[in-house]
Amino acid sequence: MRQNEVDPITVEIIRNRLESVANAMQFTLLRSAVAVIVKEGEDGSSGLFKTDGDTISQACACPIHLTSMRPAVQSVTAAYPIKDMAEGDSFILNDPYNGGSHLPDIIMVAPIFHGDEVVSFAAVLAHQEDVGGQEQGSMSANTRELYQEGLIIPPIPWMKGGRPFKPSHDMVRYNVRLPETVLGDLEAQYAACRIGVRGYCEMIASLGLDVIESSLDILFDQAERRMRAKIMQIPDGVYEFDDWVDSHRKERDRIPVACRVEVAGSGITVDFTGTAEQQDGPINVNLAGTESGAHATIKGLTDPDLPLNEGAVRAIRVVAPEGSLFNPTRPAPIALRGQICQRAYDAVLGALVPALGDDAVACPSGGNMVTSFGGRDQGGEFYGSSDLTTGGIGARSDSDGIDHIEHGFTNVQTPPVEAWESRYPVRVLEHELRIDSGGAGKFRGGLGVRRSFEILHGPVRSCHRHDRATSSPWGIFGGKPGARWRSYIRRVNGEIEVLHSKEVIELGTGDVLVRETGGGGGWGDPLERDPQRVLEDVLDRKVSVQAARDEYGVVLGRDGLSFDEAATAALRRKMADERGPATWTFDRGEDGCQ
Amino acid sequence: MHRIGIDIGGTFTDIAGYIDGTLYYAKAPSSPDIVQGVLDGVRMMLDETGVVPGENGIEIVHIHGTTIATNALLERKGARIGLLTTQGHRDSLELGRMKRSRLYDFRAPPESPGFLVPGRLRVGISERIDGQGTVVTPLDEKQVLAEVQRMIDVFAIEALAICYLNAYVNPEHEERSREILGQAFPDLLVSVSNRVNPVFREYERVCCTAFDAYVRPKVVHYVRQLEKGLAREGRGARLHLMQSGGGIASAEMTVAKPVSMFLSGPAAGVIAARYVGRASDRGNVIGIDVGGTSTDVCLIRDAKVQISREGRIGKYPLRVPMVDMETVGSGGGSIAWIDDGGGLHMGPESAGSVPGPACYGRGGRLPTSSDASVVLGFLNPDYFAGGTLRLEPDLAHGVIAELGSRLRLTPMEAALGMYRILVSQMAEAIKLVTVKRGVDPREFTMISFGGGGGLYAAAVARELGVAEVMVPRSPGTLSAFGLLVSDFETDGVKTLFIHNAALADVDEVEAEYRRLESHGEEELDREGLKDVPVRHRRTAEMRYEGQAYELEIPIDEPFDEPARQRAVDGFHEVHGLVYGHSNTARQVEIVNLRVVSYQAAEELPGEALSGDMPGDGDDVQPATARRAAFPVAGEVDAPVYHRLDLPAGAVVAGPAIIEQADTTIVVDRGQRVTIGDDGNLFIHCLD
Repeated sequence: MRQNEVDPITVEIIRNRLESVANAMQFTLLRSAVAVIVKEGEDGSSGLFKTDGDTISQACACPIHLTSMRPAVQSVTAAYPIKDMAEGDSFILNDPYNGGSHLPDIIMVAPIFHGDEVVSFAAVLAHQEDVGGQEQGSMSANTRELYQEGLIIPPIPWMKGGRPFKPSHDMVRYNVRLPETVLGDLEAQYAACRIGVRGYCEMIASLGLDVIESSLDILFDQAERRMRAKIMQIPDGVYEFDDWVDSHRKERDRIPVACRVEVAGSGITVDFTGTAEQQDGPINVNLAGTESGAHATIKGLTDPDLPLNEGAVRAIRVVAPEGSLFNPTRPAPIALRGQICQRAYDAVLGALVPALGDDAVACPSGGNMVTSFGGRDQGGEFYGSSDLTTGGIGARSDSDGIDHIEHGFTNVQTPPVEAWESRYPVRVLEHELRIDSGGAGKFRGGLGVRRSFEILHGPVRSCHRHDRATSSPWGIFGGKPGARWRSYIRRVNGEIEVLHSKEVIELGTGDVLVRETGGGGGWGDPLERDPQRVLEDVLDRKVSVQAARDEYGVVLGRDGLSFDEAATAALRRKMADERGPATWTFDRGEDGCQ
Repeated sequence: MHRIGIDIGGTFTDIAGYIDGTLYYAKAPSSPDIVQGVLDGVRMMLDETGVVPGENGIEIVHIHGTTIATNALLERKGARIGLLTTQGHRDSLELGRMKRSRLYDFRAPPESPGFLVPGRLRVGISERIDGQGTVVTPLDEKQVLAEVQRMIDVFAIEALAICYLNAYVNPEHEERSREILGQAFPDLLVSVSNRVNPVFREYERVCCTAFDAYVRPKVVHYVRQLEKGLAREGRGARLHLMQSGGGIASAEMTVAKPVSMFLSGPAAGVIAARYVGRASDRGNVIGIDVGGTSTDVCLIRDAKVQISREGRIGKYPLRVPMVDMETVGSGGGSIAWIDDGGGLHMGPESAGSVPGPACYGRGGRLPTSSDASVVLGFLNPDYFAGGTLRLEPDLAHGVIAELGSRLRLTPMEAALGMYRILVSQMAEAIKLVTVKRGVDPREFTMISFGGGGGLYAAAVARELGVAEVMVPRSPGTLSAFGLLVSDFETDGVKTLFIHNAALADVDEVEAEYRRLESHGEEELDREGLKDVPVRHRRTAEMRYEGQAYELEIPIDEPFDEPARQRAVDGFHEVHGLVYGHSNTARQVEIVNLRVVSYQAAEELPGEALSGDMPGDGDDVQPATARRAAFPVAGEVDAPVYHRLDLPAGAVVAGPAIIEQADTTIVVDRGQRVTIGDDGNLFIHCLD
């Protein structure tokens, strides 16, 4: 059947049903998963793929998985000829250098049959609680090569004809710390794959394979045209941007990220050439992750609701030189790629700022901060749990950034203070907005937080990680940068130990771990911010009296409840004269460049 | 006992009465003055039934008061409130849990309801209770008084919320703050977290407490006005109000906890769907209520309404018991549009009621699903909503023809396409609601209520493999009917972490349940129905150790060792049902104990439900016929029947259209309608 023989009604019904099948897979995964990170953190994705790996439809709870599934399908079909597959088979892998993302993400791929022929694949990714390696959770900050990060799984059979393939099951069972959880989650992944197989087969039965396949071509073309129409609205040009990632080493150095975005007509090429070489710490990002970063930024800036299929990504090409931070080669370690991938995302965002004008946004604060705590309670029983928090997002041309919210790459939750205190020997002394952390601007960046934990019963071993301790979330068009991230230990004897952004630390009874997350960048000249809004920020303790004066040129009235109009106007004139017009595009703060 | 139920909607107020053994229904345009609207409704029912005040007066009036609380939130017109929290944690309301409901979008709005209390009105108080309930830092009473004095003097707050950390374990500091504030500021309305929502997880609790304070002045005023009005004009009627969990509460109970009135609107419809389903021996029901902008979907299993403890209002957590329901974004006003890539879509944008679909003639210029139903011949322009709104077919044809021309389709093809897409969307959305809850829709009966469902229900059912659709006699006033059959309820909860449920101290747990029950009993003795026994339902929220979410498990009385074992076994079983796996080797925790104390609503006799039925079952003649296009039958001269003419036992084969004042029912080829003895209409949907 030719493309034009499928009517637009049928095409839309097929699109809707494909989306529904992917969502049903995803709900099944989330419903059946054992691990909290999948269930609550929704760190998993599901989709349907053509036999060549093209995305038919994907339910994506976590944008970091956006383009991470296609390579998995291709790796499986490269390792196992399609003609040898049977109904009820499934394959798994996690090797970042052969179809995977980082080791904790195990991807399962299952063939979908029509008669004797494989017509497509169902694939499901889930972040496992543990895959072995140096530290529980397989997310150590101390690794030097992939082999230390856990069990590396090339494409291998997991189920054969609906029955467990024992060698693979045994291999996984004896190489992970939480075998029941991991095998349980793989079971949930298989259940989700079966929902995908059943859903697609039902569609074939009611609509016919020819109609579906012709519709796929139309749907891919529609998504591609829709994305290209949005890209057409961005002025052609070459836009370059550079930024930094905190080094994993103890020295407080930073390593460069470079990004060149070329917009030509309806297509975009993103090139990360110039970015640092791959590192001997777990901060590398494989190409699939880098691509997800670039795609997520462009999708967010142009068409957040665009259906997720192959057509949606055709207009965007991503290049990163082999052996670099964003396209490393074996055996570069990769576990902590989440924070770093966010820098690829920021870099594309930054590059497009001059092109987008009012549609641009200032830099989000930098990702999230993950801190694990492991120790023994007063009764001597071992415990281990992780805390998550984040900063604010960048200001928009018409509104302030949001405080303490996920940036768009992962989507997890902060655990309740009361959950910590009911269960573990810690006290959360503070969880409050961090004053002055949002970048000043006509529209202010979102604020970060201060979250401090007192250890009531030591020793506690803690692995903590974040980024942007050595670079600022940039402000744009005159807006100031948001605050950088920092963390320190206030020892029981009063000494302060400032921490690097990725460390494994020991805490004793009475020690306090203080963590401060960054703020989003500001948008536009702070001297143009409505003084009333500055006053309100002061009243609401988002901006200090001093910053109101020094950054915004707003002089408060004696009652502290109003601003002095005349004094404010005079101060703003004086500041503007001294500073000159705010003509620069980026402000990256101290030791950055404008 | 006589009862009147009043359901206040945006456009219409529905009134149901059960008086002297007979059911009455009435419909009136909603009054802008809600209090007056209620009083008018009561008077209308009294006049119609001729009940004499004082002699055999109306004893009880049940009201849906939802609009007051919900509108205060939607319009951001709640009270100016202050918030006292624990020092170091004053911003928890705004910080939220950091998760986003909308991915990718750089322009998304905030996720947390920080607007309820701006930072200047949030104060951290020097006090601290630890996770085990021990006081670590005593309450600074002077600071409490000074800060509230300042909030009143400087910001003129109208109400106050208090939520201290760990108050769910030990409410001492909250209670003491409430006490000293009551003495110092007797007129200040105060909501405290251990009374509103004494459950752990501080963000969800502070949201609930702040929402309670935010709507408190409005709700208190509304309830008092209603009481005054009823005393004046209601001839001795007592006022009760629907709560979001599907139970009825007294005016005093509502005033004590206004937050429980949020989202009580849809609850009555679900209660009613369960009632009419059970009355027809259908225990497994998918209820669908198709509105203008969206469709509400609820699941009823084994004739039990499912209650969610983790309710939301929009994206904000509102942790009061709520009838479990999902809203999907397809409705009669859903707009058809073509994207930049040339793809045709329906919704989620909707024309709402203003300007509404083009066929409403109120200036709508975009093609909606209602316009498609007019073009397809399903809707009778002269008999829409019983003739209260005359539809304009020419306007519908115009917008659909324009859309069709862009797709190279005839107007009829375009309209049929829109209808099919909408049906497919509803079916897929309902499928996902069932997948999430681990059930198979094919084992359910679909009950269609509200005005819009009849057009789509049979087609949606066919897509889902659902064999049977039931349309009650008066689907448009089913929510008002639900008010007449809801139990009188109160709800008690205690967070009690028991890390190994299998070894729980049975005496301690039994004592906690007894305390909750006697509290409920006292409340119902004071506030509840006269001469109706109080019963209790015990449950516990349990989880596997390490999980961050709980399941609610029924608990037997008394809580002895066998009951404890049944609770643990029950948890494993429910976990298996809900999540697809269980692990009996894993330790099970108890987090919360819950008791619902209730007085059951009086059952209505079957005759009351069926009302007057037309005589004989054999003689079924269509009233008329009109040209209509169906997905399966195609374009035909379809017979049109009047619902009220159809006697019990009547059988109508599709394609056909059945009209009644409050809905239009579309039946395609291969489907068949039968009328039950009780007047319910059943569509047998599968060939």
